[in-house]
Amino acid sequence: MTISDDQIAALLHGGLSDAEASRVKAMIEADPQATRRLGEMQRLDALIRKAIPLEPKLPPELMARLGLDKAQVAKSGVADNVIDLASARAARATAAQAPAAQFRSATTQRWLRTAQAAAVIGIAVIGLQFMPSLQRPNANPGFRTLSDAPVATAGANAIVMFAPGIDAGEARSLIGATGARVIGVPSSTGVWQIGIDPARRDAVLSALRTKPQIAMAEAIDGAGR
Amino acid sequence: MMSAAETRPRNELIDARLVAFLPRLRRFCHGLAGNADQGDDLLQAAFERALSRIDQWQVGTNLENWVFRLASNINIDGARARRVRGVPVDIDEAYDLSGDDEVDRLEQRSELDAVRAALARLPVELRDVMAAVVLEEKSYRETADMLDIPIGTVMSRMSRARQFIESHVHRNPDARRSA
Repeated sequence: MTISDDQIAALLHGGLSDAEASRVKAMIEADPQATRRLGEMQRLDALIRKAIPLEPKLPPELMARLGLDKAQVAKSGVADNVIDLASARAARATAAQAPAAQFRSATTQRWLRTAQAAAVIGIAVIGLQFMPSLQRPNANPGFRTLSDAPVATAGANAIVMFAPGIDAGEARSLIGATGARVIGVPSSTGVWQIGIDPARRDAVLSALRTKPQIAMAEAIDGAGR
Repeated sequence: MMSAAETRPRNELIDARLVAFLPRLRRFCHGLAGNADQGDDLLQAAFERALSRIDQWQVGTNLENWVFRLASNINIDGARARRVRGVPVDIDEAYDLSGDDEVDRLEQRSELDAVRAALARLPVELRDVMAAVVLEEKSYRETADMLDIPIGTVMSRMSRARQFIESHVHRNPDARRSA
């Protein structure tokens, strides 16, 4: 029986049941031409992945286009623009009347507002509330969306997230090099709680944000700013 | 576990997931757009749409697949808009494999170059399946679920995409590898 390209491709791409896969594998193994054809398909797939490779980091200019420019956040004067809880609630109530406009406006400012809100909202759980989320009338600043989000641990006054591809060892080294200490273990979503001398926290977080390995570094208790 | 009645607030954890997902999304968008520059444009559009429509993401479902689908829809909508405006699109040129072999032979010096050229000319309706199956290495079933299309459509489009890319590579004598 001749085996078709579609059957070979289905085997290659998980399109067969276990029983069908076993049968097709046996047929391929018994047919040198089918074996060669499978190799050709695998090789073509590898070439396609090589033609469009996965780059673990986005270039700074692309990060800026997405509103994720760390330098912008660092220069934003977040520490000087404190928002108290009452203002945050008022902003939420006001913005709820025109949420679409808020969402459409200045994506580049989103992360700045995020950091501002996080600086003063002393929430117990790790759930930095970005301004757009506060604008929803039903949003609960203390509500954790993902069931496995960790509760803020005593001594932790900042959180860090790393770019993809950074292993735990390198993460700990990076944090330790700043004089900060890791508190507990990272959450399943990759959020690390760290403790920093309050007198040095702003400087340490600013230094972390300049590192390409760092995706996010923010204070979580609002103190010391 | 959140109840169905709970609204979908976008919080730090979801934003973190989106940021961590960006490299894969960028590669997927390059696959959809056919080249890196337009891929980055598509990435920006998809990311911004995901942020602005996060309320529409259903808790408990795959966030990344939801964003992949947004990107695919934006790409298809863009292709349709270009057709309506009369702008030449790849789908009109893609199947024309004759007439410019000489130029291609000069431009494509390697099999990899030939694959890149083929991907740039791949019909738009085949790109999302190709990107999901080959770049994201999803199974046919996972791709069907992600793109919300029948699994038979996934198999058919993947077959056509493979034939297109292989024929494009094989017609270039400089790109053919020795047996």
